[in-house]
Formats: sequence, C-alpha cells, structure tokens
Amino acid sequence: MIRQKGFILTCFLMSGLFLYAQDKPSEIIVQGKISDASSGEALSGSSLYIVELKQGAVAEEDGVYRISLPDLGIYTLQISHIGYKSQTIRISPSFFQVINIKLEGNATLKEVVVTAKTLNENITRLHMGVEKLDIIQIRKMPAFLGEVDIIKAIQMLPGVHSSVEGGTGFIVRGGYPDQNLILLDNAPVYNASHLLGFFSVFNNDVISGLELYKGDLPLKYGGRLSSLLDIHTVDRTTDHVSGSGGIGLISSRLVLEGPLGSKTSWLIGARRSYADQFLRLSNDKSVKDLSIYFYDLNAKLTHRFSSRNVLSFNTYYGKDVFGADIFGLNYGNWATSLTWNHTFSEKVNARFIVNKSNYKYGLQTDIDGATMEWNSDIAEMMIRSDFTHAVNKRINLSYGFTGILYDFTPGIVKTPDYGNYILPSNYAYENVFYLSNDHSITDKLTFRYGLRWIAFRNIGKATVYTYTEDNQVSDSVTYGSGKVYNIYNVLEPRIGMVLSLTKHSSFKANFSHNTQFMQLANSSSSGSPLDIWFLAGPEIKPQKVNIFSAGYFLNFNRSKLETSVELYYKSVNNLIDFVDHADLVLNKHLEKEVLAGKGKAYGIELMVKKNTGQVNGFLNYTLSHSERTIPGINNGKTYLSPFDKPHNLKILLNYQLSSAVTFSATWMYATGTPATYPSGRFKIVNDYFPIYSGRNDSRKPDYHRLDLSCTILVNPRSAKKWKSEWNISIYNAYGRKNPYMITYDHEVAGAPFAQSTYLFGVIPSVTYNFKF
Amino acid sequence: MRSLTLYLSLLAIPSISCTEYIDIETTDSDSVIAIYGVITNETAYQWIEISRSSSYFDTVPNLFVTGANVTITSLDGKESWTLKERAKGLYRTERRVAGRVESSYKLNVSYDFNNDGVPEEYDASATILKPFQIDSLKINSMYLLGRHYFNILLYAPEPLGTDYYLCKFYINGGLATALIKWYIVINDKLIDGAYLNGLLIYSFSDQNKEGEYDPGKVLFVKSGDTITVEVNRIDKGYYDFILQCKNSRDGETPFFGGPPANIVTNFSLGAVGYFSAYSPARKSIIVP
Repeated sequence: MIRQKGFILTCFLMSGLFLYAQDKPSEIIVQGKISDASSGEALSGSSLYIVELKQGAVAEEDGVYRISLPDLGIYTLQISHIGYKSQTIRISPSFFQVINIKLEGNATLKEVVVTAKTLNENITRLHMGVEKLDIIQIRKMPAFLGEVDIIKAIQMLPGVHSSVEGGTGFIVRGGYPDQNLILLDNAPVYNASHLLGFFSVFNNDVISGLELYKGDLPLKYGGRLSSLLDIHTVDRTTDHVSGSGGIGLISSRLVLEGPLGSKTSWLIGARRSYADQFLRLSNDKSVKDLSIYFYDLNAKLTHRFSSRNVLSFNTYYGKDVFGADIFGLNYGNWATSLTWNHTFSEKVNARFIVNKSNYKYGLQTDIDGATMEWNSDIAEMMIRSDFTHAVNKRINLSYGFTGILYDFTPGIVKTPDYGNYILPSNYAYENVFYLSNDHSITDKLTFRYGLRWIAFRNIGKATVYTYTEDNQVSDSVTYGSGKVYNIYNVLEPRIGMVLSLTKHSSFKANFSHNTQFMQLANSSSSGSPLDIWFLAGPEIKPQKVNIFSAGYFLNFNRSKLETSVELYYKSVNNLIDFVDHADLVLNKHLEKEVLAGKGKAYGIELMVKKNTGQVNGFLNYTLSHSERTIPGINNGKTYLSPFDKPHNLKILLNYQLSSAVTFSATWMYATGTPATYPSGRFKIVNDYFPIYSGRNDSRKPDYHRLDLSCTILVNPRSAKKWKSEWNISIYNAYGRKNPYMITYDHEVAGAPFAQSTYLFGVIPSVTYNFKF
Repeated sequence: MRSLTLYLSLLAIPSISCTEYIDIETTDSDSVIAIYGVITNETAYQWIEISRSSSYFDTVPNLFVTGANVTITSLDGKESWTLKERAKGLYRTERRVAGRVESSYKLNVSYDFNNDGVPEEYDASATILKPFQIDSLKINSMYLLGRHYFNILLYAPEPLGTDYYLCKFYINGGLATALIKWYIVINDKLIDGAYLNGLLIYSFSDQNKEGEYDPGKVLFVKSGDTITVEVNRIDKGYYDFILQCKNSRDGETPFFGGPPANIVTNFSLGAVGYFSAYSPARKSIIVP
C-alpha cells in the first residue's frame, strides 16, 4: 500500500442521487467519512472548518461529517484532528457530494492525547454529562492482572465509581449497578463481567471506543435510570489482513481483520483466560482440580453495497466456567445485531437494526442426594429504526421507533428424584416512539428537546397473585399466552441547552426524565452472577427519575487545558429495594420481597484535563450524596444509598519519557462505603448475635489505591509490519489493604472482634501486546 | 439447596485474599432483654435462658437476668408450668414435663427490665407440630477439592404443604451441633410432597484426615462413630430466626444475603430471641 506524502482525496459522485433530488437545491450538502490514512480507522470528533463561511462542524462517532453550504462556489475546508496532520482542501461541490478524507498521523507523536479528540469539542457538544474514551486512552492506563479493562477505565471518570472492589457493577452519580445500560454495537449486555467482576467481557482489541452518558441519554435510548455505556467495536476498511493481540499472565487475546472482496470487511476476535492451568501445577489438592476460566468471541462482517447502503452484522459470545469435581457453574452473554445504514437523501439518514441479547447461567451438582441442575435465561429481541433528518441549518430532527420483546425464564431446577421446580416465565413487550430536535436558535445558543413515548405491556402466559396485608396469597389470575394483562404508558421528556459564552467556554443545562422497567433481584453489596433481572408488572411499578444538571466548561490555551464543573440533582420515585432478609433465590413470589420508595442524589463534579505535552492527564473530584427513603426499611427513616461515597478523587498522569517509553500512574481516593455495624449483641445458646439500630449508619475505612504502569514500545522506528510493546503494571502499588468485607468472630469464651478481609495486596503483571 | 451455599462459598473468595484484625467504631443502643428457649414433647426439664444485651465488642460477658417470673401455659389451659431459676439467667420447670403434639404454648416472662417499678410482660407463643417421620439413613463417601467427607442421606416422606425443618446431629450420644451456627434448617421448596430418596442433609469432614481442616469451622466424624440425626418440624418463624442467626453471626458476606438487619423475634415489647416448640424425630447410623 502506498503511504507517505501529500494527501489523498477521494470523490464520489452520486449517480443515483437524482432519484431523491429536488429541482433546485436550496442548500448544497457535503458529507463523508474522515479516517486514518494508514489504518482506515474512523476518526470521530474530527473538526472541519469552512474558511469562507467561518463555520465549523464535527465528525460523528463513526467519522462521518455533514456540512451544508448556502450556494454553489469554491470553498476552503480545513480538517483537523489531534494527533494527525491537518489538511486543507478546496472544494466546489454540486448540490450533493460525498468527500471522504484520510488524515495522516503525526510522525513524532509527542502529543499524547488523553481525552476529547477535538479542540473545544467538550465546549460545543450538545450532550451534558457525557464522557468519551477511545481505546488508545484506555490502553495507557495501568492494567490489573495484565488487562486494562473498560469498566475499570470508566471508573476513573468523574461521577463514576466502582460498587465493591472486584464487583460486577459500577455506580453513576449516586445510582445503582442495575441502572446502567451497556450496549455493545447497539445490543444490550446484561452482565458485563468475568470472574465475578475482576474483568469485563470486552476484548480491548475489538473495541474502538465508548461514550458514557451519565443520565442525559440521547433520546433514542432509554430504559435505565442512571447511564448509558455505549461501546463500539472497530469499524475499519482495510485492504489486507491485519491483526493485534496480547499475551498476559492471566489471559491472552487475538483479533484478526481483513477484506473479503472490495466491498466487504470482516473481523474475528477471541480471548481466553488460563490461570487455572497454573493451578494444576500446584500440590495443594484443594485447587488442583479446580477449573476457572473465561472466554470471549467477537465476530463482525460489514458489506458496503454503496456509500448509501451499508449492512453490518456483529456478534459477541462469552462464558465463564467454574468447576470442581462434582460441581459446576457457568454463565455468559450472547449479544448480536444486524444493522442496515441507509442514506435516503442529503437530508435524511436512517439505520434499521435487529438485535438479540441474552444472559444465561447454569449451576450443576452431581452428588448423591443433592444432584441438580439449575438454569436461568433472560433474553430480549429488539427491532429499531432511527432517522436523522437535517431539515435546515437550524433544525436537525431525530426520530424513530423501537420494539422489544422480553422473554425471561428466571429459573428452572431439575432434580432426578423431586421433579422440576419452575419459576414461571415473564414476558413483556415494549414499544417506543421518539422525536427530538437539535435546534440552533442562534449561533451561540442551541436547544435539544424531545419526547419518548413508551408503552410497556406485560403479556401472558402468566399467573398474577394478589396478597393480603400479611403477605399471604389471597388470589391468583392466570392469563393466556400473548394476552396483555398490564400496561404502563410513560412519557419521557428531555430538554437541554448549550450556550457558547466565548470560543472557549460554554454553559450547559439539562433536564431529563428516565424510566426503568427492569431491575436486578440482588440485595447483597457485591453482585453475583446468579442475580436475576425481573420486570415491572402489576405489583411492581417502573422506577422513574428526574435529573437536573448544569455545567460550565472552560478551555485554556487552545484546548490544551480543559476544565469543567458540573452539578446534578436526581430525584427517584418507585425506587426499588428489598425487605430485610429478603428471600430472592428461586422465589415464585418475588414481588413480596420488593419495597418501593424514594431516592435522592446530588453532587458536583470538578475536572481539570491537560491534553498535550510530555506530561498529561487529568484530575477529577466529585462531592456527592445519595440517599433513600423506603417505607419498611430502616423504620421508614432515610438511609444512605449502599454506595454513597461523598468524596471521590481520581488522578491520572502520563509521562512520555521518550518515543518508546511511557509511564502512567493513577491514584484514586474515595470515602468508605456505608456499612451497617452492630449496635449491640445478645447471647443465646452460648454464642453472640448482633443487634442493629439502623441501616448504613456507619462507614468502612476509606479506599485509596495507586496503580503504576510502564509501556515500552519495541523498536518504535522500525518499518516492519510487526509492532509490539511490553506493558508492566503494578496494581495497588503501596499495598493498601482496602477492606472487601468486615466479619466478626470470637474466641471460645472471649469477646467478639472484627476482621477485615482484603482482596489484593500488591499485584504486578506483565503483558506483551502486538499488532501486524 | 443448602449444599449450594457450601459449594459456592468454597469458590467465592479466591485464595489471594487475606484477613486481619480491624478496629471499628460502633454506636451502642440501649440494652434489651434476650429470651430464648425451646420446649419439646419429650419428658424432661424444659429450660428458658434470659439475659441482657450489651454493646457488641464489650469485653465483659453479657449480664444474666435474675429474679424474673417465668411461666409456660398451654393455650387450652390444661398445663401451666412455673420455671424457677436454677442457675444465673437459667430458668427450669420444677418437674420433668412434656409438651403435647399439636398443642400451643405461651411463654410469659415478667420482669422489671427498665427498673421503673413496674414489671414488663414479655410474651411469645409456639405450637408443637406433628413430628416428622424418618424412614432410614445412609452414609456416602464424597471427595471434593481433595477432601473426604461423610454425607448423611435421609429417606423419609415429605408431607404436602409448606414445611420447615431444623436438623441437629449427635455423635456418640453427645450433641455435636451445639451452637446455632451448626444447626441445619431446611425448607421444602424443591421437595414438597415428594418421597425423600436419600436427600443430602449434612457433610461431615473425615476426622482421620484432620490435619487438613480448620477444627473451629467444620464438624468431624470418623469410622465407627454413631451419628444420631434429629429432624424437627418447625414453623416459618423459627426457621427464619435460625437462618438469620446463622447468616448474621459472622457479619456480612458480600455474595449472599442482603444488608444486615435485626434477627426476627416472636416476643413482644422489643425483646430479642425466640420461643419455639417441636417434636423431635431421631434415627442413628454408624459411620462405615
């Protein structure tokens, strides 16, 4: 492939355009894709500037940009992206033109990008409370056991923190782990964790980047109260087979991609852990026969019929396996989507998607007297269509429709001697219509407003129970297959605004109303892979939140330094929690264990980011509060949310020592999570038992940790195709013993004492990453 | 189902975790009265223990409650027993008595706990349910993660309807499951109305391989020992009480169980503890 000098300009004239054309164009549309000249990777966030009009635009997630010109003529277009050489091109388009642009990387790469790929993109972008990370930034963070993990990387962002160390979930702005919608190429992933949360299910080499929307979700998405984590797999056009991968102490991964003819590209990725192979070498019989591993498989096929029609198929399948002699546990996700992107005209683009997601687990024991097989399977099937319609320079509409069918089989236990114990399946159908407008009132003021209308229907086959005051079943009604027995009609308005104060500063505000129709039946502080999701229904109302947020964004020195302050306030209704000592395992009457009430969370997030230079990084600090008031819990008194952490400080620093060596360090500090400690004890049958006065009325010790890493590029100046690097990381560099759980014990005839169990001491790791 | 927790807990915390002593600050609530006792249909002295609660880390043992008036009366009025203080905080019926199956009994403890001159009346009731029928037992050998266990299998008919059971185990005549944390409680969710065809109810570690186990955490038997299994049919309240005691005793376990909360009680007026009654069914077997 010919690289090097000059620039490459590709023009396509759309011969089929006249089918959609108007007699005389009121505007001239120029659109296309901006990508990396050597890898073909889409460069989202690229800046375009039309000199003659003094007007700018930004490329979208997939590198696609669109600009409109008022009249025929010659225009000078400047395209730039941090880390790449800027280009200036002169164009003279006739009424609709597609111009794809390839940018070349900066040879020296002295400026290491940490965040926000465009100058001032944080100032201008319409969504508030959204964080973007691309894989380059994620890779530079210190690794845990050799793998830099997406879920751990987002926990460095303001407003986000972990649930428990090694836990399966993350918390966004005072929410709860089940309030985050995780999408992988538009298909939901229910349980994004491997090995009980130590790793996520996302193979770094398959991912190109992500956006995390902290409450102000784009109108086309909904269904969770707190956030949307939108993860994209790589979207490259290549003309040769290439690959990348890594070999680490705990797991290894490999991704291959290439072309199939001139219009098709494919990708396959795999990752597997093998730590249990080391256990086989042990003499300790208790671990010798243990099987613990996980694997992930990704596949993608994209066919470009024309520049107007692209069809792509994405699939992910992964599994965790635990096993020992007579016992086995496995769980995993399968998420697949088929997307057709179609350009109707210069003003209207659409995509049509069919996707299916499911999460399954299975538990087997093979012991005489306790042989059983327990399976659970939750699935959703979705069709959606999303249109973007640039009506004119000021008005940009988005509208669409989503239909989802939920099919939950929460649990079936089969035993050889006692028949089958079946938790009845749960079905529901949800359809959503949405319409939103990005309205540029003036050059400085933009509003985004819209409405989602959701109809959620519970459908049979189902049996609905009613209960008496003291929770006995008083009646039950059975509904036939497909029969609607309950409807929730919900309107979700969202409105936001961006006011540009100067070229380098802006003020944003936003209001959004989100609803959630499904939640996790889990009341423990750590999630477990056996938790089940359950749907809203006649006895369980959907959870709702009103979120207000506002922020001020200020950049210095041509965006080399970005600062921001964001405030938020959330008020939740029908917030779900569970009764004391809830019985959530294989319970046919789960609704009896559910309590609902109100929640409140508010906070202020401060951030400073240095984007360029030999030393760069960010510092963010969040001061926040999250509480709940639920009748039946804590005697109806307000109590702290399980993961309330008032102070949260995160610092990331990168130091580029030379072209080959980079050092990276992260330090995080958070107030200890709320804990319920005993306020007394009673003695019966020669043993002590605790008495409690409240819930979450004490705190665990504060959490802090330092991670360090060093990345060494092997022969960075070599022209060979095989590029590699070594990454050496130390997790928890000063060995802070952060408590994972606090338990009690006492010596015979002695007083009780407390013990802290901590998961990790200092953990070093080495990984070898390569690319070809 | 109980075995599920056993096996999952073996895998739950990886061996890279460590435990050490920690000082935590607790705020102390006012002392409350703690009352506990179980009556059976076996002719014997029936006991009730009464004490005061204290702060959790108090190095001074909990104070006994002495001088309380304790009576147990059957709801049909046919029996009325007065319990006399036999040792500090331990109250015993004057004679050996037996409860009757399918009778309900009310325990009344009258004591001026708050020293205001007026005694508080703490009441609780319990019913002796029809005894469980054990047909036979069997012992199997099991190897798990390199360790040897003796599994106790139960053969019995399980009555239709929601039932709960408490199992205790004696080794060579002595009560092995002396502390509540060793008690086994079973619900019949998965087995309701079925014939229990060798249901696994306990795994004893093999004492001949003692060196590998933590003696404070597991129960041992060896070949030749006589194991007596006692299965007691109990009500949901006592089942919840024992289960919550077992789960709460050691504090939180992140994977299972929710946030800590007070253990249920069937006493009035804020007393803690439980009053229960049952009819034991026993069978013995010798470890091969």
